[in-house]
Amino acid sequence: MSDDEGLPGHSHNEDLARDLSVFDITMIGIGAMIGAGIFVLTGLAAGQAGPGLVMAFAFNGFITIFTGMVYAELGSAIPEAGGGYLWVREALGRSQAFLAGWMSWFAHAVAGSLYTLGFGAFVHLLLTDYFGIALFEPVDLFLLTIGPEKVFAVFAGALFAYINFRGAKETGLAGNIVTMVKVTVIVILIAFGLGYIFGNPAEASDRFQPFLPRDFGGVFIAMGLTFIAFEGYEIIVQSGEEVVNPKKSVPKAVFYSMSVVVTIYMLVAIVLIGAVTVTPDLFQLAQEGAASGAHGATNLPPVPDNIEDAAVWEILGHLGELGLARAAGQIMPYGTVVILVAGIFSTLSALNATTYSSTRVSFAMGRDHVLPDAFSAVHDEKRTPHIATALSGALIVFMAVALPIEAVAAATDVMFLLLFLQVNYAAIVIRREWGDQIDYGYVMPYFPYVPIIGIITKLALAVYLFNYSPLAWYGAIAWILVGVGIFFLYSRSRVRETEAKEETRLITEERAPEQRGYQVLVPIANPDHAEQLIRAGSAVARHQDGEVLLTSVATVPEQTPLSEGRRYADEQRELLDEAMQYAPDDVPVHQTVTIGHDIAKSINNVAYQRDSDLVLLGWRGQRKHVSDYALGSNIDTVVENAECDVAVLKTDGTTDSSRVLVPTAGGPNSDLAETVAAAYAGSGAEVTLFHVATDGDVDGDRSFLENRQEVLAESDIDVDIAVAEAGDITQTILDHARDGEFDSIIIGAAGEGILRRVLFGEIPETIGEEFEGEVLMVRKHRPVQSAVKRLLGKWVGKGAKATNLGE
Amino acid sequence: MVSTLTIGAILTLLAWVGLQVAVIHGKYVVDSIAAGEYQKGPFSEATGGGSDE
Repeated sequence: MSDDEGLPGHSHNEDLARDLSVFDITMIGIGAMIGAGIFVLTGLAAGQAGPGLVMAFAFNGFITIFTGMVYAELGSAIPEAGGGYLWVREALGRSQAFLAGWMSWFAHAVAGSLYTLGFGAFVHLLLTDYFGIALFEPVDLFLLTIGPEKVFAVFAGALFAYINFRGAKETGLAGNIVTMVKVTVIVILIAFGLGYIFGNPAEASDRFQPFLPRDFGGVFIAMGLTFIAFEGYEIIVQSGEEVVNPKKSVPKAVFYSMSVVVTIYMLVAIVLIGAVTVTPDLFQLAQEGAASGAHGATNLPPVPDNIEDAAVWEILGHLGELGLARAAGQIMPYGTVVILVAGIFSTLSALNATTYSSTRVSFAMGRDHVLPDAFSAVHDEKRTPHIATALSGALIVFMAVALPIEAVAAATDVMFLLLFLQVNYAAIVIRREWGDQIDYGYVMPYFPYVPIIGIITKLALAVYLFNYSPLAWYGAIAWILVGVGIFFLYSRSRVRETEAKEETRLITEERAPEQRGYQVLVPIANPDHAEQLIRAGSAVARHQDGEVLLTSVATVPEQTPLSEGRRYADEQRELLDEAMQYAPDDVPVHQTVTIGHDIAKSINNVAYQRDSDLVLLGWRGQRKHVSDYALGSNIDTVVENAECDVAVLKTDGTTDSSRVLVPTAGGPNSDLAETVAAAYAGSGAEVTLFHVATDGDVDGDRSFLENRQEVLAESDIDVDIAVAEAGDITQTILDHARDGEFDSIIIGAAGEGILRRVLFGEIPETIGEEFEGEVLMVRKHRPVQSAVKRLLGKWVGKGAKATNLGE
Repeated sequence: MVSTLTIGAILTLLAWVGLQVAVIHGKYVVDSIAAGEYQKGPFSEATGGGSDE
């Protein structure tokens, strides 16, 4: 995706054949949700929730439908491959999208690890119990215990990485058949189980008591643990580009699949608890499982000493990933073998899908230039992203070997829950900002409460999972921190380059023959102010042995692609040609015309791309007392987001500054003001450093100014100094400037708030507005402070802005 | 006194019914939008229709 426009006009270059029906994508969703999750996780979850497992599945379905509605809405409006990552990128920007993609990569890879481990356990059981093949005992290798299951898991992970490298993928028909077989097996299991329950109602109902042996805490953990099973809507929306009439089909498939799947899960739980007896065999297997700790037994109560005291759910918990398979042996003929074989196919198809997804996510991130380009490399012969595939496969295998299965499951859930948090938030922003422009096929009711409930419930579940597996959270946090590190060290600058290229296009450029290191960027919008701005900019450039870059921005409406906007640029070109008459001979002056949707963003992009050191903006001298802006929307945006020093010149028409007053109180902004004043002095102006002593320490303040005077004198800049004792700083400066017949005031920004909107501060802005002559306000770029402020603005401010827009 | 099982069963049923209601409502909204009869959406602001809800 590399289009220039916002979400409403979203388009893509490659058109896929639209041949999937509602039924097809509903089956894709069901296939994903009745996949390995039910075979692998049901036993583990039963050990946590007890008979309350039924409730855990129902609650999971209920809270998942909130995010399901979000997916239905966005999937109907923007039916493109990319799903959550795409929406987060469009709504919240590339920095949040990086995090979403980074988590999505990990989530899909770790889900793959879970399926490899499930596959390993099923194959191991099948070989040992049903084919009588003796396998080696687990061996301790450093901190890890490697048993046959792990070896099978590694084999499966590596095999499917290779299959994905070869480019083989499941066809739609084969996928449907696998899903139908899985669902049929489960439905037969349910039918047998319900038959038993209806035949033995008293016995079955006794097994549901106590209903919540581990209270609601156990239910919440089971919900978090099995949440991965309900993420099928992510896969449904991924197929949006291949669906007939996606506006209707995608949301319907999301809803139908949720309805069917949650019902099936609940019925499986009912059957599992109600139709299974604790036999001596099961009891013994559970005791062995507890003793070996192979199935997350550390998180479960111990197996009772007597078989009479053991409840079915306790036994299932200690059987872990083999719980459903073992129990199925009681429920239907050949139940264990059937479930094992179905489980093997399910885990393999799920592994194939997750290997494919994690590869595609990391590939997309490489293509978006937020991960190294190697991720987006395509193999010459196979035409597959071989490096992304290899690294995803390595991640899958590493996690499968390094972590126990319950920690892998919990880590996957934590990652998906965090990813869904972002998607819910993105849905709010998208509806607020572009809602009236998007052609929705479904809209969620009670907006924005639905995504807000989605956020709260997902967050609560994710946090609660810490009780179950702190290791999963540590792993998740470590992964996120590594991602943040990569983002700041590597991706951020590339994201900025990509944004700049997408937001702003260069139309024409005329370079002066000579180029110098220091650059003053002077945006020109009004020919009447060009002379004054070029004079000031040239003075600074001359002082710094630098150059001036004049720029003018042509703007086109959001709906118009930048590529169509060249014809709007003629006026800007003429404006700059005219302004060039004021260019001095001794300073190189370049000119460039750019086009963008937003003037301020384009100015900052030009400054970023050309590595400008100072942006000099013109200002009419009128503050915006009633709006959200201090000096004007464009000036405010440039100043707040500039990645270099910035100066705002009150354009009063002055063409010569012979007397310059520099109110100073020390600090980086005042230092910059002194530097600019020195540039004026170099052009022949008389400069006076001025300080208002509000604390009565006139001698101390004079000493401070003398110190500054000496520093400037070392550079052959002679300046005067003056100190006045007063309480009202602003009025004193204005009075001194008027009485002394100064033409210009150069003043540094008075302060910078992290959360408050402060451009230059009350004193400089009041002086700028009230002084009759030229006023130049300057602000030094402070990267760390600006980064924190921008980050807060992006994560907090964007939502706030969006909320305001909706009001 | 009502047993935990009864309360659990009721809560479970309510959650399941809630899900099914959301599903049926979802289908209704999709069909209504397709038929051009649904006015409660952000798109209605542009066309002078009703509010969000």
